[in-house]
Amino acid sequence: MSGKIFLITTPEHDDAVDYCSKWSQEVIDAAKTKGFSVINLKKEKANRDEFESRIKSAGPDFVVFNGHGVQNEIRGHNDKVLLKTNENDGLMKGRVVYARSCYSLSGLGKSCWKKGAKAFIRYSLPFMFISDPNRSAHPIKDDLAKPFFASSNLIPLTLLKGNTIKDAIARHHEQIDKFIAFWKTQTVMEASMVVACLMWNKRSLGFEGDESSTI
Amino acid sequence: MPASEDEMKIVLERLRLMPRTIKLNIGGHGSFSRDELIKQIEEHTEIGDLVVEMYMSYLRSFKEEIK
Repeated sequence: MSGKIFLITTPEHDDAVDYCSKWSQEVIDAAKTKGFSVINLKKEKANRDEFESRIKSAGPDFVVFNGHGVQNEIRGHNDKVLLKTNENDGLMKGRVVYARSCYSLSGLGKSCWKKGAKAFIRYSLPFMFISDPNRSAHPIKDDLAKPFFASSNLIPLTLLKGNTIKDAIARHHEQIDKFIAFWKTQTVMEASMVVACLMWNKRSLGFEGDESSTI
Repeated sequence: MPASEDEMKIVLERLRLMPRTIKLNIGGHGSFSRDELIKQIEEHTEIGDLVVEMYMSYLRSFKEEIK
């Protein structure tokens, strides 16, 4: 057992967050295999009271958010605020954070880092992905969505193995480049949109903090 | 920055070639079908401009690759 604690939010109230949350099962399984104690704030449990309580009582080393965001907020179930600049961002002190949510760079990421987070990995623009509505009941089987989640999952998966922030971002970029190379060879008309969105997410990913940080 | 008319035309033509069934999920802005994206671009909305910006940066990457 590593004795480390991993907290993840998995709201499912709309298609986009449902995809993010369903694809997070791979990350949850990997954390358990690595001996982490996993706290999964699922569906309506991804609310601020529960989130703050579990952060304070369990003191997770690694926090992953799935949900929508704006510059100064990350949201949970039904888009209710979980983490907000100058309100409860100090709760991330001493932790590594990955937010699969949009825009949380300039405000929240910076303020968490200034208040002691080891590192905060996030997207500075909307996280975009293509999906096939015929597969929305089974997001894991959606081949159009796969490149977006298989690559973004590499951030937490690489960190859970004890690697650094720098390593995690490098692995993410390598995998995105492989998917881009693959989809560039595909002749279906939606292939160009898949490539365009992958490039967008790659450009948008960044972090605040020390690149040599580990969980 | 708002999309130019030429950029909009390029992206609209590309979108019209794509299947009606695909969905583009744009973070907290929501999920959009092909026809909804076309409407957003034609109406010069924030979402429309974002999609044009995203797709044009992809097209520009080809130019950079050739260089």
